[in-house]
Amino acid sequence: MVDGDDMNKEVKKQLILSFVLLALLMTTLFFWYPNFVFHTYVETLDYQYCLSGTNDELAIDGYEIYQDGKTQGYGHARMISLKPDFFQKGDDITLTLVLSDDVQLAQSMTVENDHDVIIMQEQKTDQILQEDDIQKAQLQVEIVRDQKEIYSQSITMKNQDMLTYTGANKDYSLTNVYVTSSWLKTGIFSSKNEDIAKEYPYMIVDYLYLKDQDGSEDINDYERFVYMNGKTEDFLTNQMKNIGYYDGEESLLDMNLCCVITLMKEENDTNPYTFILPLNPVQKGE
Amino acid sequence: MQTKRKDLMTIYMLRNAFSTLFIALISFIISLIAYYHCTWIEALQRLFLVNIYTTLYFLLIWLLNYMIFEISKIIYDTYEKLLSYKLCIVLLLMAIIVFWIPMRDLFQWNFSLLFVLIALRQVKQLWIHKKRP
Repeated sequence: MVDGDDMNKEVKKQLILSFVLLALLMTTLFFWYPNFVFHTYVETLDYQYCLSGTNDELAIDGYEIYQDGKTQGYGHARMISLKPDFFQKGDDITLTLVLSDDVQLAQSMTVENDHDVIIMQEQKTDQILQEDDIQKAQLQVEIVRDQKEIYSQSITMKNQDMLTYTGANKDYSLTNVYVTSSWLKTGIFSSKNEDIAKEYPYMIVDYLYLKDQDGSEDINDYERFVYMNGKTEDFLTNQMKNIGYYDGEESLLDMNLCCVITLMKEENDTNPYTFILPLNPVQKGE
Repeated sequence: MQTKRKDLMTIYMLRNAFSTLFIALISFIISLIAYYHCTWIEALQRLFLVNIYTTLYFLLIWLLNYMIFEISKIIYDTYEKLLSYKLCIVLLLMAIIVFWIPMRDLFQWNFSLLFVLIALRQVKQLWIHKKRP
């Protein structure tokens, strides 16, 4: 048996040793922390998908699913009816993208006029999306007219091949322009000049494709298919987004694309500063 | 009698090692799932297969947990007479307060769970003492 004093000494020794070891361990953890964070919490890659699908009555394209920083969005699809008078004013349309049993992205809207083409809104979601599920997505289309369901079909959606384009000159750059064969999502404009928003408060961005693929290139051979006009600050903070559709026979991916940027000192500047940024693909999209 | 005691000691140490390992593992998995929005299987892969830095840090955190737990035991055994349920309540409160301390969620979960474990161990000791004063 050890008496009380010896016991205390023993405990003190143990405690001191433990604290020394603990301090060593904490120091190691502290100095290793930046290294650990760098290798463990790798910058997450944003993603962008564009789905399309068709059946006998409907052609749907440009259904996008994307993550941009912390925002996850979906929708923005364009629906074209292949039969006359398919959509009528007052129809309630519900689109549900079924990715799995748990993840279903729904959105609905009311048709406001008798057009054959309907563009759906974009929606935000917090649901966790699995990339594998997107490859086998189904789109459930339901149309309600006068409180009666008149149409309910499931369309298999195909993930479109996508390329990311960029364009840049010495002072300005345009990144993350997403392009598929018939669809384009505008990119992020940035400038080396930090005071550009003060110097030129307004700007116009046009996306163009080359009409004829013969050798001679002239700006008049280009066709404009996306037009954006707004405050420079909104462009710089990436609040200006737009979608362009191309309905020709060829694929946008085989065409020459470029972007015309017009910087203006006032809203109706008669002598704006205009330049062209040719767009080039940078990497294969998923 | 001596060997039986030794066996018990080994079992206790193994149990403590496992529970602290479990805490570190759970914290890492929660943190990775929250960051990557992935499944727990992918989180496990990221923890053990992707790079050695993550795995080593995980092992160090486990060691840290184990040491803190053992030290808490030593302190507890020294001041056994002073102990009451009050300390457990303080520990459980700390386990909640930790979530308001600005640090990575990995550490928040890890320390929260660790405090809960220490509190549980004390409740167990107190209960034994009540039975056999």
